Amino acid sequence: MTAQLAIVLPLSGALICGILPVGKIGRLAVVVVAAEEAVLLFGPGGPPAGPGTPLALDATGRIALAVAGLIVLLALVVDVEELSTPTVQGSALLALALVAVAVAADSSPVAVTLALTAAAIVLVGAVAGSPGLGASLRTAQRYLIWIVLAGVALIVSNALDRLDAQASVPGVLAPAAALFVIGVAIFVAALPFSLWLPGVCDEAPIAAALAIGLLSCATMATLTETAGANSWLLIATSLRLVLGTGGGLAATVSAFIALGEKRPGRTLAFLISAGADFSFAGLASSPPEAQAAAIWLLGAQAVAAALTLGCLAGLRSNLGARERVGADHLNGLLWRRPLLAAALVVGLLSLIGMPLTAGFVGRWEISQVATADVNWLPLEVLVASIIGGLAALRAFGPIFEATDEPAEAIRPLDVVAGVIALALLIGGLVPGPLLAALQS
Amino acid sequence: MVGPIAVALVIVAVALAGATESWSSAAWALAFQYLGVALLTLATTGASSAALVVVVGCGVEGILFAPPLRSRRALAASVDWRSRLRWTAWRPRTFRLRWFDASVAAVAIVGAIDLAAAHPVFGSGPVDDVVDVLIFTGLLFCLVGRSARTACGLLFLASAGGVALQANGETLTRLEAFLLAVVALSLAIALARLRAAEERTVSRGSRPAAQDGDALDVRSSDATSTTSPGARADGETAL
Repeated sequence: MTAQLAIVLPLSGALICGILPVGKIGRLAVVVVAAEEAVLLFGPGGPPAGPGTPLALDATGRIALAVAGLIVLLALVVDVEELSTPTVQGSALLALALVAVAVAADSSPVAVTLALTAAAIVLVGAVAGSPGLGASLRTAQRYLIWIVLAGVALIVSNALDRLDAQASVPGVLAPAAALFVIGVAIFVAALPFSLWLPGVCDEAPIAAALAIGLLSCATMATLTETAGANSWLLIATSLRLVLGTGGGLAATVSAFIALGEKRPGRTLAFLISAGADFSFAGLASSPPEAQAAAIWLLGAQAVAAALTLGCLAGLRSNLGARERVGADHLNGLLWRRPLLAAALVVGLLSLIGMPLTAGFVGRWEISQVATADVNWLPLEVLVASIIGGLAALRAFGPIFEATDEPAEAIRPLDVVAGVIALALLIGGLVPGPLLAALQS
Repeated sequence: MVGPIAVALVIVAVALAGATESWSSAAWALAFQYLGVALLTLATTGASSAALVVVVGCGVEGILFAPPLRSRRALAASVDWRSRLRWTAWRPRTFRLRWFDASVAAVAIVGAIDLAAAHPVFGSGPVDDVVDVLIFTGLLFCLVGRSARTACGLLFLASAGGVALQANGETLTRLEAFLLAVVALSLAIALARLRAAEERTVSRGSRPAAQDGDALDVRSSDATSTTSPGARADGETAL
């Protein structure tokens, strides 16, 4: 029942967004997502997924959907503040419904893949957005192409996997593994498959927050099942070595690229890519029974990415519609909007893996469970975190500069961002219960 | 017998999309492609799956190429239905074959068929041929195509995924079949949205109206054709 409600609620909201006039839907969409969160937190537990019950939510699924709902809530609050647009709100709610389908149908990897692909495609509406608000046409096209490539890679991987299960065909598993890795890497924007992310982060931060947040959450919830179905992916030692080492190296490279970027949005994109690379490396280098660390890092990454991008998008409300947020717009943010600036800083600290944040717990756990095949992973984590910290300091340092501008009144976005930042801090200070739920 | 016909239809579709640039050619290419895939699905999986492919194909064509909903009077005023029912209305008035693009597409088609013959994965010839041709040309069109061709490439890739999933007579569950249709239709909606945005961009740039006489493009009749030089420049090498 909870799974069905989690799908129907945002779906109804998306339909209403297409019917009601623009002015009325902003708050309604927020109410729908709040109801979704309540259902996920207090709804009754259902039967485990199986052939008779194609849609069911386990503990990981509930956590992932709750996190996804929080991300959508943040994006909706930003959108209502900036310019209430039915396109963004409808896309966000429809994508949330499809992510719920993906998470609830995790007994069928094919259904998961298809729902995830559809959710990513639906978000094109948010990326393209309204005239003068969304990303440029070229960025939206690039996003769509990469997302479809990822979806098709995963679909063909599933087809090959089914074929092997039906009649063992020699030489099918290696391409299936490669396609699976490429598909997931594009969805979670792991370098070098993250070329869609920097442009979207820079030009349409709300859409980027939705895309990276929702796709990472869905991947987080379904990775155990889909990777479990492809158990050969986690058994082949050579593959684990390549993915573990390559993921760590790619994360370091991504942090270096972030250091060279000047625009805050693009810096964030490469920091997000570095975290996604570590999730991959952790998934590949940890034993099959200890994947909670990689899943935790993906979840923390999704929240931190959405938080920082949401804060960045919130700054656009003071700018012209087509103007992108640059370092100048961050000047003195701590004194102008202290709550928003504090939330942005917490999100950044979590993204680069600083202690006392949820991101640090993920990286630390990955370093702990990494097997002897990839024993230099902790060193790569340390180097990437230090470089990432320098990159964040360079791009977001102006937040702390003095300013003559007066302090602004607290807005709803500041409050929501503050709550999410608090959640990241609590996750970093008391990770035990959530980690135990993920491990179970 | 059905298998070779399906392969031939798919090859005609990708060749048409690869050799021309207009949206009207894209409509024909997609129609041939969905027809070929439906025939192949009929032969491998069954009538119900083939019917689903036909319905999805009609939906995609409708979303991408049908005129937008307007009042009946406005529609009657803007569209001359008698002339639109004639064959010539659906034929691009300046059908320009791009020889270089056509040769590149031909190389991709031949390479895909050769790969399917040398390394069959799905057991039966037609399925391998169709999947390989659609994937290779789809990737190619995403890399080097402009708007219309890129749209064809993306929809070819989605179709290839559907065919691969149903290879060897594997029947999808109801949820999977529904989601497969949702993917194709949401992709068509996304492409239609991007096409509309492109038309707005071109019309804002006050480009001259419909240069290649794309008769199918009713939406652009009051603005500009999507295949005008401005559109090409913007949609080029999107990847």
